[in-house]
Amino acid sequence: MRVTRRSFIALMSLVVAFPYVWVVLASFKSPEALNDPSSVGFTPTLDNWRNVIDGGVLDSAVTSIVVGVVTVAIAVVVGTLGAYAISRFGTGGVGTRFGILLSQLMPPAVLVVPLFLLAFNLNLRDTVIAVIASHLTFVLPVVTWFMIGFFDAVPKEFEDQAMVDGYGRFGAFRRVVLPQVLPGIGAAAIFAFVLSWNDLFYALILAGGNTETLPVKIASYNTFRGVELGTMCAAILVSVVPVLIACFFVQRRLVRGISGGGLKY
Amino acid sequence: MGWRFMAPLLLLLVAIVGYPLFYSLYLSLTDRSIVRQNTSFVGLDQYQSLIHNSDYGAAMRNTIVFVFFAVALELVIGLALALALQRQERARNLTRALLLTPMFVTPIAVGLMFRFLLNQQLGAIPEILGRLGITIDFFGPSLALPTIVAIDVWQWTPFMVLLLLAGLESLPRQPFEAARVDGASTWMTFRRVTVPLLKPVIAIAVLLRGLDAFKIFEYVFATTNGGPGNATETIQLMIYRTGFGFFRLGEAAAMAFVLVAVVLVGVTGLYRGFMRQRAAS
Amino acid sequence: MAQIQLEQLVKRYGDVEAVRGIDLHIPDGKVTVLVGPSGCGKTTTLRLIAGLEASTSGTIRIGGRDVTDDEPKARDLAMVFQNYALYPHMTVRDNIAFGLRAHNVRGDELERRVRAAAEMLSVDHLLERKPAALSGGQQQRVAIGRAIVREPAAFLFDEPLSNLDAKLRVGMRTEILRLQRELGSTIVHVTHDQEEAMTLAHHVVVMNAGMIEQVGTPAEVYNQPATEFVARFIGSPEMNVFDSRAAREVLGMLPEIANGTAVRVGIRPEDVQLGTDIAGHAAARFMARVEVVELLGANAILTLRKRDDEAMKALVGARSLAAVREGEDLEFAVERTAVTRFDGAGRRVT
Repeated sequence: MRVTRRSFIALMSLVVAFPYVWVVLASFKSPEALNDPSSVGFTPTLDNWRNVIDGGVLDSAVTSIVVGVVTVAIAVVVGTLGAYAISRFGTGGVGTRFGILLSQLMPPAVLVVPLFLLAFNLNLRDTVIAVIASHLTFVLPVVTWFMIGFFDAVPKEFEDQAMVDGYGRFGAFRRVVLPQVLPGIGAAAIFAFVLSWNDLFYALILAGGNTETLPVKIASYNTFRGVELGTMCAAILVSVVPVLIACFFVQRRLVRGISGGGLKY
Repeated sequence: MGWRFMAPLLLLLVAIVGYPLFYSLYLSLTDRSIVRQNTSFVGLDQYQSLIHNSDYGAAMRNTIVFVFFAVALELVIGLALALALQRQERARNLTRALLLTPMFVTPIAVGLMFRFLLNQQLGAIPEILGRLGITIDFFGPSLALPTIVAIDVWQWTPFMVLLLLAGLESLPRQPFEAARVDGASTWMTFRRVTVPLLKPVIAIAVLLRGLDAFKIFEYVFATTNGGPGNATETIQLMIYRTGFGFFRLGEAAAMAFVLVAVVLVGVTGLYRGFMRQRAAS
Repeated sequence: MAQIQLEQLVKRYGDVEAVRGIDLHIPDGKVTVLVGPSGCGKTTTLRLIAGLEASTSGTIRIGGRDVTDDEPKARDLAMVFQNYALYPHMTVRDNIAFGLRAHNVRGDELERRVRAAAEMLSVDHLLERKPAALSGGQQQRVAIGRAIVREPAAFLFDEPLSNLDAKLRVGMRTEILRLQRELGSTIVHVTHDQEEAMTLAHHVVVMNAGMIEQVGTPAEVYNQPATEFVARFIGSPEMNVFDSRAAREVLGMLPEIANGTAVRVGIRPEDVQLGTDIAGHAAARFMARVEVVELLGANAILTLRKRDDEAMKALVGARSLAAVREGEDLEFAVERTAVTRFDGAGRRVT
């Protein structure tokens, strides 16, 4: 039993790791080396990485960061407040908890067309505002849903105590409840950032030429010209490595957070 | 009182989800196109033409088949992996961290990675298989959709593992201890204790993953672009092409709403089935 | 310190009336205990006084001032909860200072008052610790210290002793009494434990199903219970109550009528004695089988049954146990003056 389990996990680990390894290797290969898959040994080159720096990949990464940070900032503030209301006051009734998730039902295809037209009419086409707005459509519900679980776990007595001690509802929220859900906010923020960082569909349609995000830039390498393959792999690593590092730290709390707060219905 | 806290959230949701939703509905009843100057209201014409559109039907079929097989595979493999990870002792955090990573990689990157990994000329995998004497054309007409399924499974099984693992770790220990005392075999314990206790988690996991799977776009965009022929045409891809390739926005909006309707039907069916099962047990 | 007045206070949740129009005067400088079974409305009443719940109708006055529409922060009250609600992310010092800061007390005065309260509760050596590093008893002291430091008009205690083990609980009761005598505080204390109510209270308020059954000193509610409910709730073991028929058969007493209904008869277990321990004809005597003997130490609880009638309890001194065997029939006696009578509506009949 133990042998089967271990070999199963080992096999899965291999399946997961293999593409990463290939991408890392490919990012250091020259176009000739890439064209010949049977060559095992090769002389590494930094050309691809130089292209990354010169070719606009870093710019698009910066755009992605800006979009991600703004989206997360708005989502955390608005979502935390809303989640507090839903958890404490049951605002909106029983349906709201589920209803929040309902916007996940919406395929992006439904919202992207009107958002595109709105951006067009409001002359926002070459700004990041349209992309941020579109990212909020799926980030807001996720952050709110996360935070509802964390607020549920804080006993009501703390706010009662703070209110008798002399604060109003918001004062009690700020001084006594919020400090206790900070870890939850951290986890939600990281998770939300990753969601925004990884989006292609909205960014592809709503971002202009100067406001490409990283996934869009990576998609632009989608040609059959082998000469771009190495640079593409380097660009992929620029996208993947920060996320992997962030998630190394978050994964333990994710499992705990989901089993503690999120799975309770 | 609660409304004061909720107000920003509600306002924002109305502005970026509610309003566009209704606007989209309105668009689907017009023949709006960026290319042409005048737009006219055409009622249900868009929807009617969709019913006769064989390409749309093929795309819908592909999408549904894709969702079914992808989610099913992810559930089975994910459950096996979650069970294995739960019992694992050595190098716990490391393996878990590694195995969960694929779901955090941007899907377009995953699509492109596999496009070149599986590419007949340049890919490492056909190369390895070739050395073993096996030739597989991963993106040929019969295998293209299954390959897309496989890519989805690579990326999203970890998501299932995450949810199922969290569920497994929050299960009470006593029923399992009782089963051990009663002498139940591993398989029997799994079938009669683990699975029933895990049902709510499985339901949520399948629901979330299923909803997400309907939006399949990036892998196809990165690899086959709907081909060969129609084989991997999916709804979201089609909407992208119709709305932003041909700029027929009214038609694209109608396509999107039909997808929403299909998804709603699926979700309601799942929900009812789940509730009925709950009542019976 | 101030008195508190409740007038026709009502709290309705949907169709359910948790508090049904109560009038209560809570005197200044005394401990008033609201006691009753779960769901009787005592905690709801406390929360209404605090302002944590808004009343459906009625008035609340603190120190003569109408606070019915005031927020909790404006009522100048301090509250201690069952789970102490110590802010886990703050030190003991910050916990105690919290309410003072909310009322804009700063600097030296803040320091002085925090230290004084901590010393009074013997937690001054714990000021820099966080709540998680304290024992249950220490947490409770900090919670009380946090309340005392505010010098409020009145203290509200919501079952603060329920989470302590038995020994600690008794110790804390004495502590609370000592503090109250020293500070002359007005305290409203909620508990479901009648023993706690009896030992702590100047005035006991027995509540049931949203209404007040009786207000009185511990002696009054014990010796002159207004209703059958109060008689059975106060005192342990619970008073034995019989309908007329059983009274006649068990005790040989003639049925009596009061207010047109047959009288119910109540006898406290401590008034049921062994026949040999009571002399004279003023006692009703009867034979009963001893089913169970529970030795408490100085006393013992006997469960008696006469034929197929209901069981009754007797509380006898341990010294009288020599003659008692489980399963045997013995003679028991009750002084006729020790009998309480209730009419059909549950009211005590004098």
